[in-house]
Amino acid sequence: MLGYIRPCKPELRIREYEIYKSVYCGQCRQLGKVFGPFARLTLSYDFAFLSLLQMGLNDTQADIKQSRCEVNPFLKKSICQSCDEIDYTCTVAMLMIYHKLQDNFQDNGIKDKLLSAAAYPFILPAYEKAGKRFPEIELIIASMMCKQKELEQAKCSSVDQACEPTAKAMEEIAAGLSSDAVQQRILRRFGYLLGRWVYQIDALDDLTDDVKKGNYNPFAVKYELTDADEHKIAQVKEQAKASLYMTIGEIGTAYELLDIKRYKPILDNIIHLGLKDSVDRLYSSCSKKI
Amino acid sequence: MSDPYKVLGISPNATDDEVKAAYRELARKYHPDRYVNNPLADLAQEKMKDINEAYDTIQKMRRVSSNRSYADNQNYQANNQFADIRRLISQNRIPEAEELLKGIPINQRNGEWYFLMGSIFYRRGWLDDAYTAFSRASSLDPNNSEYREAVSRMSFQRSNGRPFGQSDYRQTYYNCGGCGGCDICTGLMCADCCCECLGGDLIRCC
Repeated sequence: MLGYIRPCKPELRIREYEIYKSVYCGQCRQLGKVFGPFARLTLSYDFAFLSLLQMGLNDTQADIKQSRCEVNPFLKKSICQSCDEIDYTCTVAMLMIYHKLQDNFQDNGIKDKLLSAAAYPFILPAYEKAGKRFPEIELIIASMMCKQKELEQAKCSSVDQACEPTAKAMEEIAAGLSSDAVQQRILRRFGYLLGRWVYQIDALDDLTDDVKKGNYNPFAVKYELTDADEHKIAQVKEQAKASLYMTIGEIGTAYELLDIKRYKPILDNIIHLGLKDSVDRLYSSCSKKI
Repeated sequence: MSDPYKVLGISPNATDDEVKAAYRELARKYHPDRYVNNPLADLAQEKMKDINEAYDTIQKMRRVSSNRSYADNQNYQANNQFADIRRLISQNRIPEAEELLKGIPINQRNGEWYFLMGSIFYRRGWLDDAYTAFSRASSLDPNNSEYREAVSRMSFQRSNGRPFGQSDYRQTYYNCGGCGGCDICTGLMCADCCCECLGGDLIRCC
């Protein structure tokens, strides 16, 4: 499944894990109900986290009911019923996914181009529907994705600058999680750093493939990696790890200022343990693409 | 002011030691040193103020003399040409600060210049560039503690993947206090050693 912002499962209490899973399933249900069955394929841990964070800030209790999974009807699951928070993050997810699809279509190989083209007629109406709900956010995300393209074409060698468009997009999404001005300030900084981290870890995950295919990768450009030499790639990965760790540190510092009224243990787990775990997983000997 | 026990996240029946531990944990989390140059520093300062007030109130209520020893914000040195730029940065007027800083000729770009550049990068969220700039500042001026501390804060985060000054989440999560098996054994061994030093023998086989 998609997404890097995940909990560290072994450290969650069972009760907390059940709540987290119910929000994740609730997200899936909402995507299918509002944006069509195809939209379920865009289900992501990242947006499940944002839903839970928004519920935590608004002190919204998850309304959990048992029902059958719509993808696998043999399974009975606890599903968080639709609420404003899940509605917001699902809608915003459509905006991000549309641009990612365009990105995949333009950059990647034949297989990805075909998949993106096939998904396009389903995602476009969802994107337009989402854009009507949040036009300001849609505008900012669209302009940030344009900037991203420009930076990649110019082969930007600064990781900080390469991260900026995704960071700014996430900053805007995070600001929409609360209507309180003080919380919004903190959420902006938090969202910026989180977006930066997501871009970095994605680049790190794709590093070997990008170098082999000659695609843009900010770490490859910064450390002048031209061939897929395993030793060189390992060295670059170590440098990149320090940068990711540093970002996690700053994310934590901003996160602690948020006034979270509910589900703090689950959110703490994701921020203080989950983010680092996602990075460390890329370095384990049996690591696969996340 | 709201319930001081709620601010510290403890029950009104907490022991004095538990009150102190809760205060120390929170003070460490929101200490100004962790938010140096951070655009959210003022919010951390407010939280720190609430925490201090809550602790003082509880101490007064329990009639124990308070022993608050955490320092307030650092005083920046304002005796150089970069004072204006520092002020702009602390007011979060980043584009103006950056313009002024970039206007300074290359032959005058000393440690302070790199430190201020690092501060601007840090506020913007460009952490890698901030780390590079802070490191450069510290190498140009190794005796400056402010630059050194900025570098060490970021180095800590680069190595550990958690906020500077925060204890390992797993340790605090599992912190159940009290006495474990290891504690008892160690205690007995120490007691036996002390006893033997004084001529006795607590545990014959050790």
